Parts: sequence; structure tokens; C-alpha cells
Amino acid sequence: MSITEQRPIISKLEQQELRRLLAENRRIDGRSPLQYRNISVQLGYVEKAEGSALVELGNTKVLAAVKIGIAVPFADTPNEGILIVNAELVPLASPTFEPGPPSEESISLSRYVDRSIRESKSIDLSSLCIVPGRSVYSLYVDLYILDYDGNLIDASVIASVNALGITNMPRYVVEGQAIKKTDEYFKLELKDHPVSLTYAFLDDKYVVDPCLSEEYASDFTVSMTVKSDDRFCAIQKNGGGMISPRRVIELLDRSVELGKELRTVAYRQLTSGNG
Amino acid sequence: MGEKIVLFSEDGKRSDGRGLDELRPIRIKVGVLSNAQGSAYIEQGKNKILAAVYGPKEALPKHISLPDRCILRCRYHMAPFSTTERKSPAPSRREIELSMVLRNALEPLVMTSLFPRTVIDIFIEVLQADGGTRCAGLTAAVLALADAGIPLRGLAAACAVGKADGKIVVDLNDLEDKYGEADMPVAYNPTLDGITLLQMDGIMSKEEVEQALSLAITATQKMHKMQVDALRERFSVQRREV
Amino acid sequence: MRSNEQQRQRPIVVPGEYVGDSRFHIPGLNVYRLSDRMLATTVGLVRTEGKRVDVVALKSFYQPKVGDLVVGIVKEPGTAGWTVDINSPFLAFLPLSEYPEKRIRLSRDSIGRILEAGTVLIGLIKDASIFSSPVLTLKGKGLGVVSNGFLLSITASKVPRLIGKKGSMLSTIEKGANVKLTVGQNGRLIVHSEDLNVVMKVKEVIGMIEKESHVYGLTERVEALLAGRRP
Repeated sequence: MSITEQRPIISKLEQQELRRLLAENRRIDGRSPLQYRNISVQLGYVEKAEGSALVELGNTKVLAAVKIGIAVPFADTPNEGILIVNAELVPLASPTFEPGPPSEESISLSRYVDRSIRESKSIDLSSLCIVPGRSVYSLYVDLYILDYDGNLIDASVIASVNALGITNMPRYVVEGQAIKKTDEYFKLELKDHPVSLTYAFLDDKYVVDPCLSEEYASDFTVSMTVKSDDRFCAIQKNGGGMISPRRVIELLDRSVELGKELRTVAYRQLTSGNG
Repeated sequence: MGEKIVLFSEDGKRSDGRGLDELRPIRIKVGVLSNAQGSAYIEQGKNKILAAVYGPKEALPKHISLPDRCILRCRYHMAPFSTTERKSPAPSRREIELSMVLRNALEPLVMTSLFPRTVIDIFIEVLQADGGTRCAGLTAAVLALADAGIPLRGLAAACAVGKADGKIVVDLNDLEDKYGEADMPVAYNPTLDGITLLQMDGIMSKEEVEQALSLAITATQKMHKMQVDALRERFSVQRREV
Repeated sequence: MRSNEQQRQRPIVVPGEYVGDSRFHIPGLNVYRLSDRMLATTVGLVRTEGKRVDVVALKSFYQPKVGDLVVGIVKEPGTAGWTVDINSPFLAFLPLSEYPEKRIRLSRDSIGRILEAGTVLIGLIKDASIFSSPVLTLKGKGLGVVSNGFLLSITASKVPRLIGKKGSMLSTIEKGANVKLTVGQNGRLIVHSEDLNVVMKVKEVIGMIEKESHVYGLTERVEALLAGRRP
């Protein structure tokens, strides 16, 4: 059962401050409404993983690690590799994260990141088949949320794509009935560089890349993932509240525009060949 | 595998004979369960979905309650026999996500501040799935809330729009849902011109999303009329002549 | 056979439906304002009294108000009184001090023995707010435990219709069925009778009021039903 969430109480004064600032197109951390926080990306942070990236978006820290294995394909896609995204809201990151089975928040986050990667066709899963119907590559993308200062979705998409972008795939050879791992590696081909843009709505105003207090004070958020060719591959409204169709269309325009900028910054190391 | 799935016939009709902006046949009935405070049933295509509402009642255990408003608990669940392959009755990650998405879509409709410290339970049970179950489930759940006498800002109906074989279509069926390029469920409240549920997966350009959105608004407005009729039907008196 | 006039139904509004212009009217029960528009929040019938526009819900749940007479069912005896189900979101509390017996010796009479779980009682809402459990009292005329009779229910919003203007509908039923009724505002009523036939008749009338309160000519049909004519 999904239960109305208990948000941490933010003081009336902070709520007022956020809204009064926003009325003047200003934000609590000095940004303008459509300004992203600084992004830092550290590629290959976990050496034991075939691909990894530590992303800091302001104070939000997300570590994405890719582990490669082989698996039996799903019955309905016998020629395709398996992609699984899992998000851990690690308890050390926030007093609101609790140990235990995945919360709906973490499930919703990982499903959104999964859609952003899968639907953008960033990975050609059909190239990850070893023996049709029997053996395919499995790509596990594990997202570790290490510090939570809002906007987990965008940070997680950036971390996942960066980690996949430097993933080295072990080469397997088929020997009779057996499948053997070799010492050789090949680079996983990244076909797209999707970015997600999340907007938080406070009354009739909105900001991109909300920090935690903006997220808590907001009525709802909308996330949109844009591909390199400016097409959309995932959209999701999170939280209660209503948005007018006019506003949705406005966000589409914003996302195309802001997506270009964000993509350059977020994937600079991948595209400059340092990966 | 490998054979091409045909989503459109040669005359441009969809696999089930519909036009691009045509809804599947919809049948709605309100007040179908005896124990629930409110209930509704919807058939949309081959979807068969029940929704029930219990409450408002005291929110227990106390720590889940909110001092200034009522909370909602929502469960979207698919019966094991609702799909071709048997589905495990345990809630899947998809069902957990959809329960949340549906709760978020219903919450802005309910005047929650009228009933602090209480809870309203909403159960959506998919008996047969045919694509677009979250939308049909929402359309029914809104009616179950209204049937329960819970004050609402207005009704909302939901419909999936999307892209199949390059064409923008309304109310995707199972086939279009599985093999189409994009799927975008939308719930819309015409009273407040507000979208309460918005998701999209698959690939669409900005123009295509805009076009799909406008088709969704038109479709949900049609469904809104059906909802109103179903509610009136529920409460109007049918007396047998003696 | 009835004439068409009798069958005519009052229009039903649904949540979000326009019920008036807020520049000329005041939103009342189950109505909210959206700039100039006044909209219904529940399925119901529009009632205009002066400038005020109400929507009388066709189905609702009971929200206690101070002074309401209610029919409750004891749920659980506690240490300082009883929790009582009054058909509302919250259980009511009947403190020991509101029990009419003068002297209760707790050492000998455990609270559970004074009023067992399941006991039906007629009480008055002494204290109620949307933020706390309502408090009941049994002190007062006509209040107390009900040990004989039958318990029936009707949706809470129809109670005013069941009672009627100045009690007219209630007295019509009482006279017609030759029985005494106690109607709780919480949608529960007691038929003070031992006669099963009487109860069945009252039940039928209640069912009619619940389903057909928005069809014109209700009083006539109730009278006909009580007189044994098929309406």
C-alpha cells in the first residue's frame, strides 16, 4: 500500500523565504530559477566494478556502479542482454532513509532511471547476446545515494550514464556447451547521452534542480528525460498537486533548451575521450 | 520472434478496428460492492477493474496520521489471472510504483484538510488487464471516492496516449502498449484544468508529446462525461411499475 | 400508476459541477469557491436558502457535532470509560463521569461489566472537534442503554429527510406503523418494538427514503407504503 508520505517539517519562515525569494526570481542558495547546481563527475571511482561514477550535484552525492555478468535471457527477449537498475537509499545519507526492503521512493527512482536508459536506447541490448535463448550479458546498475540534498533523479541518471559510458565488458567465448570468461575486455558502446531535468513547483512558480528544502516545500515535481536528439524518452510527475497542460508544454521547451547545456557539462569527460 | 507485429491495417485502422483518436468501448458502473463505503467498476476494452474506498476512518497506528489533513492509502494490484502468464500475487516493483503514482494522482482531488488524523483506503484490483490499467483504475477510483461521499474538488479521468507505428494514438490497447514506440498515461481534471498523473516512456519528439497531450485532454473530457453519467445513474431511482 | 409529475427527479450534481456564482451567493455545505464559480464537492442535490447554496449529499458519513443525539455501540471498556462506535471516522469516548449511575464502585464493578462490548446506547455528543475524539454523555432525558428493539441504519445525510420539517416525516412513520422511533444523527435508528412485522415495514420505508429522497412526492409515497398500498 502506498501511504501519504510524512515530509520533515520545514519552518513556516523557511517556506515564506523560499516563496518570497522565488517571487523575485531568486533562490535560497543564490541560484536563479533555471540554474543548475555545479556538477562534478569522478569516473571509475570503484575499481572492482566494470564501470562506475561518483556524481556530486551540489551536496547531493550519487555513486553508480555497473557489474557485468552472464544470465539466461528473459523468455520474451531471447536475443537481448538484461539491464537491471537498482537504487539504494543508504541510511547514512538522510534521516529519512531507513534500512529495510526498498521503499517506494527507491523503486520509483530506479524505475525512472531504468526507463531513461532503456527507452533512450543508450544501450543496444541486442548486441549483448552470447548464445540466443541461453546466455546473454547482464548489466546491473547499482545506484548508491550517499548524500541527499534534493534531485536524486537527475543526479542518478547522470551517474548511471557516466558509469555505463566507461564500462568494460569481459569477453566470453563459447566452448561446446560451456561459456568461458576470457582476459579480454571490450568497451560497452553508449548510443546516447540522455539527461533528466527535474522541476519543483511551489504554487505557480517552478525551479529546476531543486535542493532538498525546495523539494520538501514543493507541491510536486516533474522530471523529463531528453535524448541527444532532443526527443523525450521519459516523463514523470511525482507527488500530489496538479499541473496545467500549458505548463507541461512550457516544460518541454525548457527541457530541450536546458538539456543541451546539462548534457555538455554532465558528460564532458565521456565525450572528450577521457573515459 | 522476429515477425513484424501489425499495429495498423491497410485502410489505416488500428488492430482493433478503431480510428486514431477513438476510445475503446467503456462501461462504468458505480456502487457495485456492498461493504465498501464507495465503489466502482470499469470495463475499457478487455480491462475489467474494480475500485473500492473505505473511510475516512481514524488513522492508526497514530504515527502515520497527519495533524492537519487526511492521509490516503492506495493499493493498485493485479490479480494472478489478469494476464496471459500467471502473475505472482505478491506486489511487484511495478505495482508498488503505480500504487504511489495513483495515490499522487488522487490526492489533489480530495479535500483532505476537512478530515485531519484520518485515513482513506483506496483499493484498485485489476481482474483482467488489456493495456492502460492504471488509467482505467484511476477513472474508477475517482468514482469510488465520489460514491463514498468524500468531498472532492472535482472528478478526474485518465487515458493513455502514445505512439504506435509513427502515429499518435489514443487509449492504447495491449498490443500498442507492448509494441508501440511510446506510452503516456495522463489523468486530467477538467474543472481545474489540472493534470494529476503524467508519465511517459518510449520516444517522442516535443511536438509529438504536445499532440499526444492534447488528444489525452480531449479523450479524458469524453470520459469525464461518462463518469458524470455513471454517478447520476447510481443515484437516480429506477422504480418498477406495478 | 403514478403520474409523470410524481416521478420527476430533482437534478443530481456531481463533484466539480457548477452550482452558482460566488458574486451573488455564499458557498454552504459541500460547496467550494473557485474565483467566481461555486462548485459542488459531493454527489447531491442543490438547495438554495437566501444567498446560501448547499449541496445536500446523497451519501455521506457522519461527522459529530455538539448536541447531536446518536445511537452508539460500545466497542471496548477502558480504564476511565468506554470507547463507542458512533458510525463516524473516530470512535467516541464515554467517560465514567458521564455514565448516569451515581455511585460506581470500581473495585467490585469492573467497567466491562457495567457496559459490555456490543451494548447499544442512545447518547448525546458533549464535545466534538475535527481534531479529537468526540465525547459522549448518557446523562439526560431519553438517553441510556437500549436493551430491547431493533437497530436500523440510513446514510447520515438523509437523517434530516427522515425526520422531516419539524419532525413531520418521523411522526408520519410513527403514526403509520404505530411505533416509537429514536433517530440518531449518525444514521442509526432504534425501532422500539418487539413486533417483527412492524420492523420490516419501517425498514421498507427507510429504504425508500434513502433511495428516493430526491424524487418529488416522497411523503405521499411513504404514506401509501405505510397504508399498505403499493406506491
